[in-house]
Order: sequence, then C-alpha cells, then structure tokens
Amino acid sequence: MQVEAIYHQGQIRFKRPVRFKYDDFSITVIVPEEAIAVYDEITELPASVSDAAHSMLDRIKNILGEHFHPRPEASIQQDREALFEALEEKYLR
Amino acid sequence: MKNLVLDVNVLLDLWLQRVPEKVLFFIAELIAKGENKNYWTWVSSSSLSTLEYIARRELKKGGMEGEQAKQATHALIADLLANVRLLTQFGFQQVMALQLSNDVEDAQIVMAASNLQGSTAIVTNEKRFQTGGEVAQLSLLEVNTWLRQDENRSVEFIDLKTQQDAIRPQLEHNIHRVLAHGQYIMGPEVQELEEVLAGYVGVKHCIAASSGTDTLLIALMALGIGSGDEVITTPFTFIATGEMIALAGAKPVFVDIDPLTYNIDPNLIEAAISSRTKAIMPVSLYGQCADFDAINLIAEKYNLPVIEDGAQSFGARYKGRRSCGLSTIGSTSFFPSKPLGCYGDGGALFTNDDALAKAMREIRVHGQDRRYHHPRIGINGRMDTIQAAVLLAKMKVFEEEVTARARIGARYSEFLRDVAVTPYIAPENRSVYAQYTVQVENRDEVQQRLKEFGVPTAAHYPVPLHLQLAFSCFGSSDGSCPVSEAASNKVMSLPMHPFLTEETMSTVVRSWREAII
Ligand SMILES: Cc1ncc(COP(=O)(O)O)c(C=O)c1O
Repeated sequence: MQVEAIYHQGQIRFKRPVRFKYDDFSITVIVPEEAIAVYDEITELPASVSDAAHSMLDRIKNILGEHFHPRPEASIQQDREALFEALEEKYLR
Repeated sequence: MKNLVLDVNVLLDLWLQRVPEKVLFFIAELIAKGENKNYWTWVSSSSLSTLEYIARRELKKGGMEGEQAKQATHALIADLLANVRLLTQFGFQQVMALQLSNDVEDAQIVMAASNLQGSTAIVTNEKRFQTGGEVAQLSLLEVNTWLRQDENRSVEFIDLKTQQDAIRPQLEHNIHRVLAHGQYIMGPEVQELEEVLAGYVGVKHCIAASSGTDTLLIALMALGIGSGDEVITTPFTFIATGEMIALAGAKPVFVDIDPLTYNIDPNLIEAAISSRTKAIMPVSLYGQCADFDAINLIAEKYNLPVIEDGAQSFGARYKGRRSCGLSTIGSTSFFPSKPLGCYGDGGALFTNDDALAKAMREIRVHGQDRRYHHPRIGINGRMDTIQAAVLLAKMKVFEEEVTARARIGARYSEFLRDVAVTPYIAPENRSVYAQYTVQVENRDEVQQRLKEFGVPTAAHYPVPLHLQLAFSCFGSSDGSCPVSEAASNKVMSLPMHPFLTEETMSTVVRSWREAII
C-alpha cells in the first residue's frame, strides 16, 4: 500500500496512523529529486585548496596505500551497523 | 572566532573516501591547521573510539588485513589529533548528557560543544542532535555560509571568552595538572612561570605574587620605605599605586603628567624631590611605558630606586626593551582584564638586583627565609598555583596577542583620528593598549549614548589620586596637578581586546560618530 509521509530532520512520519504486524521490515520511499542535496552544490570550495589540506590528504593516501579509493556514500545507519559489528567482534567473540 | 565540531560521519567520509574528491578536500580543509582561519575545528574525545571501531571495521571489510587495519586506523587518529582540538568529556556533565538524549554519544558531543564560549556548530551528515538551539547543526553544504555570518554578539569591553576557546586545551591540561599534584600553594607551576616571565621580560629575577597591588607593597617594603619617607608618583592612575605608598607608611608625592602620554612628566620630577624622597614610582598607563631613560637619569642623580607600576603595560616595549625590565623594580598585575590576566588575582615583580629579589621573595612569604624563620616582616603575597597554571597557558599565545593589540590600537586610531583625541604613542614605545583611551568633552552624555548603542565604555580615571578623599591627609589640593585634572574629566576608554574584529571596530566607530554629535 502507499502511505503519504512527512520527512523532518532525519525522521519520517506517516500522515495517518498505520499499525504494523512486525517491528522491522523494509519499505521504499520516493524522495523528490529537488530535495536532495548534492555535493556538487559545494560550489564555494576555496578557490585553491591549501597546501595543508593537500598534505593531509596525501598523508591519508600514504596510510591507506592501495586501500585509498572511492567508496559508496554511507548512511548513519550503515555506520552504526559497522560499529555494532566491530563491538561484537571485540566483546562477543 | 567560531567553532566547528566535526561529527564522526564527516571524518569517516574523509578517511574512507565516501564522498567525491572535491568534498574530501573540503573536509581536509576544515581539519588542516591554517593561518587566517576564522574558526577552530574540534572533535569530541567521545567520538574517538567510535571512529576507531568503524574505520577499522570498514577497512577490514574492504580487504585490509586485521593488524594493518588497526595500525592504519591509529595513524589516521594520530593525524587527526595533530590537527584538530579535542573537546573534553567532563564526568560531571554525563548525567545531564543522559537526560538530554537517549543517545548518550550524541549527547556527549552536544554537551562538550556547549562548553565552548564562541558560536559553535556541529558539522554532520545527519542533523540528529538535540542541541536545544544553543549549538547549531550544519551539513557540509552549509558550513561556508554559516562561517560568513556575523556572530551577532554584543560588543564586549574585553573579550575573555574568545581567548578561552583559543587556549582551552592547554588551559584544561595545566589546571588539571595542578588538581592532580595538589601543591596548591607555591607548586611547581609558580617557579615555572617565574622562569618564563623573567625570560620574557629579560631580567634575572621574577617573583610571582598575589596581585598587582601586593607587588607594589612588597617592592616598597623591600626597599625599606616607611614612615616619614616620600615616594614620587603620578596622580593619574588606579588607586593602588598611591594607596600602597600610604599603606607602607610613606607619603605619596604627586607629580603631574605629560598631556600626550598621560604618564608622569619627567620634567616635573626633580622639583618634587626632597630629602625625604626614597623612590620614584612611575606608572606605564594604558599600556604605554613612561619615559624611563629620563626618569632613570634623575633617579641616578639623586641615588633613588625606581619602581615601575607596569600593571597595565606587561608586554609593552620602550626603546626595544620590555616593560617591567626598565628600572630597579618592575611590578605588574594579572587581574583578569589586564593584557596578561589570570582567572583571579595575581601579579609579579621583576628585578636584576639579587639582594632585592631575595628580600621580595621573603616578604612575599611572611618575611621568612626558611620555614618558620622570619628575619623580617612580610605579608601573605603568594600567587596561587592554579593562577600560575592559567598564566602559563596564556603565555603561549601572549606575544601574538600583543601584536594583535598593537595592530588593533593603530587601526582604531586610523578610524577615529578625525573625530576624537586618539592616544599618542611615543615613537620609542610599543603600547599593549591595556586601554584604548580617547578624550571627549561631554563624557557623561557620550558614554550614555554609546551605552544605548550597546557599546560599553569606562572612564580611567574620573578622579585623580591627589583629589581622592583617602589622600586628603597629604594636603594635595585642587589645581596642583592641572593636566591630570583636565584629563580625568575627558578620558574615556573604548572596547579593546586582541580579538576585536574589523566589524566590531566599525560598529564602535559608527556609534562614536553618532554619539558625539
Ligand atoms: C596602574 C595599576 N596599578 C596597580 C593595579 C593593581 O593591580 P591588582 O588589581 O592586580 O591588585 C592596577 C590594576 O587595576 C593598575 O591598573
């Protein structure tokens, strides 16, 4: 079924009450294109990147070696999951 | 200065290259140390373990071997710490953090951010923080705009808050060091400070003390000045200068000031010297040294010691030499609003004379030369260890502040030259502008109007000492120091501190122009 919802600061709220059988399940949300912020809109990057920022990125490259490469964007939820996995690994195994 | 507190997700975006290259540079720019930034970048110490866990996990997931992921993560954190400032998590704020949000980690970031004094924003990919409005939340896209916005803070006469943010990590470190070792009286920081200050002023001895008032008394006592003696000084100063002479039992002999510098006029000193004169005590008012070459010459002729009351001039230079190192004894104050101020009362004495240094050290601690042995009368004039710890943190940035003060003072004068009697700084002097003081005819009215415009001002000083009731017993009368009397009716100090921005100065100057009409 389709339900209208309001997004407000990180939370989605249904416009009318719906009761669910389960606590967890996945849903698909249609987000209007114009609401999506894209990083390309950071048009105001400093005209020239400072040497300090360049060398910071170089140091990160150095630390990561071949593992310095683009990765997909991640949500807070995904970061949280990674944290839980790491905590599990440390304390439960 | 504004404060940016970086959320975990923004740092992970950088470390794990989860955003386009352009954005990586943007984040790196926020973190990397740089000159001319109008903000400081912070990370809450509560974020570090989360950062460590997630980065390590993600690197491992991407195929990095376990030990290598651990080392790489450590190296990333180390690099971060070398660039950003860390926000402290105080134990006493944790209950509040728990009440603030269900997510303790997020609440810890908010609590830590709210300890900062200037405008503060958390930079995050998800505005999930319950900040109560005190701390802003920004996406990376909003950072530039926020940084450009005016801080909208009221004009402050002296801004100790920005300075506190500037030195917060060092300040916390130093104060907690004292809490840990527990030597609250004459702890190791006091001696450390004395060494730093003596080196800074360029003299052999520094004796840290309880205030810039007590230092004057200690200096007079060390010189053996007391009943029946006279000390030549200026009437255009804070009460403590004359008050300590009187408290020592001597008579303050007030000599009028130079109308340009407001400091004692050396040309008038000789006429005031009598057989009872035992010292000359010039004040380096508003942060500008008195004319010490001229004063010392007269003192030498009459074999008199010279005590500089440098309560307002610490950091100033006279012919290249630093205030407090220009005469027999230099005395200064670390009252919080002074150019170098602690978080309470404090002061220091300076001299190259070994015997005087010994005497002043003894007088500072009840005249004792070793525990419970008192060859002379003294006072309790010690500096608290905690204050020494604060001053040590402040000394790390002091010279930068001195430079900023000189720049701001000069800039004010450019702005005001055509509409006010601006301070005259003699060519041989570099003032620290403890006060930026101008003259105005109808002071009360102008002060009131400026107050209405939100610009705080002060009159330093509305009554010269020779006309204070407390000194009436010394017989000075109206008209005896005409230059001081005239100045005391007109002087007015404007907001002055090393963090004064061009915008705030413009506000003050605009208000001034309207107020004097
Ligand atoms: C010229 C002068 N002398 C002495 C003092 C006394 O210093 P303190 O407040 O540290 O006792 C002050 C401070 O206001 C001062 O301005």
